[in-house]
Amino acid sequence: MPWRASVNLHEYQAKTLFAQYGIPVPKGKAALTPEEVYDFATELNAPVMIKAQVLSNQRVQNGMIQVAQTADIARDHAAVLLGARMNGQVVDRVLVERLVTSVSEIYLSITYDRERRKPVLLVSEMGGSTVEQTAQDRPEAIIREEINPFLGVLDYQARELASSINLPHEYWEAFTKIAQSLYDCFASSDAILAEINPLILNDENVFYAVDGRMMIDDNAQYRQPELHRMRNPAAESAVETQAHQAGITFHQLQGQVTCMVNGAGLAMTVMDLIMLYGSPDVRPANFLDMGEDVSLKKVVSAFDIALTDSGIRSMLVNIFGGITPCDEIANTVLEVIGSRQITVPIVVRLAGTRAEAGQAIIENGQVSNLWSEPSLMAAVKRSIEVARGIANGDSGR
Amino acid sequence: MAILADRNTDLIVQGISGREGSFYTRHMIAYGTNIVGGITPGKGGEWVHGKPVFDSVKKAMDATGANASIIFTPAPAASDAIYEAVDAQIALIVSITQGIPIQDMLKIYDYVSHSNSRLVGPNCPGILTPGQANIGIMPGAIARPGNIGLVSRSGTLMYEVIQALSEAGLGQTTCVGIGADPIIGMNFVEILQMFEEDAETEKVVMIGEIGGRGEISAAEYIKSSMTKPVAAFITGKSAPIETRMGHAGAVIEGINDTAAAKIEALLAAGARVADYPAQIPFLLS
Repeated sequence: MPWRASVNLHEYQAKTLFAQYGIPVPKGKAALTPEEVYDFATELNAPVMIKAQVLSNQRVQNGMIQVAQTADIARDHAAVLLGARMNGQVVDRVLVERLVTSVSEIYLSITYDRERRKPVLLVSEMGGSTVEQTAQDRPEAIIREEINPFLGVLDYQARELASSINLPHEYWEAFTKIAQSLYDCFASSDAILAEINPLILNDENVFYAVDGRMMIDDNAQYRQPELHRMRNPAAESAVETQAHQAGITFHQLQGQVTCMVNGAGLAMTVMDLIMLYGSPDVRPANFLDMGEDVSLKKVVSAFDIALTDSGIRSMLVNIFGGITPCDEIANTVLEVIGSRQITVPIVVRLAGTRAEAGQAIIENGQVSNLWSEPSLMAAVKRSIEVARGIANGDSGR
Repeated sequence: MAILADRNTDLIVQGISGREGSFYTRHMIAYGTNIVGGITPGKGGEWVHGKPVFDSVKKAMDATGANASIIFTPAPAASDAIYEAVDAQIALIVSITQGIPIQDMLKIYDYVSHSNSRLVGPNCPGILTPGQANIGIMPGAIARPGNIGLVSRSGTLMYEVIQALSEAGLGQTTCVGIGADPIIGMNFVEILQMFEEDAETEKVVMIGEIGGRGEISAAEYIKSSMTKPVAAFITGKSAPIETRMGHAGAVIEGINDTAAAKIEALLAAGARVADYPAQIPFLLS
């Protein structure tokens, strides 16, 4: 499924976790103002790194990471970075860290391989932001090792990995400890990714996790409340937050037909078909998945979420009723249209439990600009025609 | 014949007393599924929809001879329910439960793969062998007995295809929802293999989506080992490319997880690929 829901931790949050699991990180602090940066830089005895806390793999290329030789320069960099924008995010804090001199840069991460259905550790002696390119150009430069989820990273596995990236054997023990700690951190935090990039050896032959990334599984929210409080509300729109709270997956796109569907696969198919038959002038306005099993409460929430966009010309509701039968869904649809005084033309397609009864309720609803269609294809085509009608100044019916 | 479930499947329901478990037990009984009992720890001795409730899977199996279990237990207790079913050595486990954490599934898959049990799901609609057994939450009325085998990652999208097949007079041997979660029990290749070996199944339909490499592996299997014709539908062509955090996902998935890459691989393997769900019946005739 696309858009696997997760909490993406910022570097400073990931490093706080790493430190808790005994992974060495450079001494540093997160700061909210240039004055704080000055104080921390003084405390850490500059030179320091000033790192904007935005979720991106391209921070260096975008000037979001700066080196400052003095506390004054650190403050100046912070003044520029704080409030800057990248990938739609506003930098609200920077990480101030003691500069570490790297002799070699290693890539080390743990995630899962969905095809092999196992946790997997990835390591490369060519760390840094070019690791994806390396994976394409020289796949053999990325070593992968499957991990037994009941045992974690075994000593021999870590030694083999250390040897495979040409680490001299005097570092194997320290590397083993880091790999095992990272696995503990990954498993105990309900992470779907724990990544250190780069893991460096400094000029005093000590390992440091210089940059880090963690993604926490949304399904584990019930047992990881602290990590889920780290969710960055600024990284998602207000309507996405509203959807998340209602148990609805919602992604805004640029289009004219707003969709409301149950089941991610079917929601994507609705998007695909609107693109196929509506392009180039009519496109889907969103991806909205209410989950396979819809409740009436979700139907109401979904209407509110689906109608937030201003450029909408028609709405397509496609529900395959299961535990909640189509006649109840149809009645709720009519109630919402009435109580919210919705004027956007709506095409409803109901299938599954008591579909005919639901279709009859929509057809007999005495609501203008409301259509009931028995098939997915007819509903998609109708919603496109209606969107086009309005675009031409026609009332749609 | 069919695969995984038929009229000889004696089913127990783990979580039979819960809201979903109780609702779908009635739904499955109404279809004619042979439900022999249910499990709700602490409620042994009670009855739900005329079926005896037991405290444990072991007790239910000893008393009823059940050979399959369906799990509705909510996510926080679902892994315990699956381990219990595996330890009781039941042949088939179908987990409907949504929201099981990935860390739990990594352990569960490892455990199941070292047992003789088969796991379908989690976060799946179940298994439907028309006219014989409905193990899960699928609307049984849309299916017809016949010779088409179906396997899908998503639920409601598969219902669209089942409905289109039935309306075109093409019945199904078995419809299997393998689940949409990243870590699942049986995958596309394992189900395709069962359909290939099933004497009754003549043609196979596979419904996939963007993300993961499951459909690519399926294409490789179709090319190397399948003699039966396969029609496929892959959804997510217009989905914006996911912004990946970190590099590991891209390294593992590579560039093969897009709908376009999957369609290309399936076409190259000799499968027919539909543009829309209702086109599938035409590709099979």
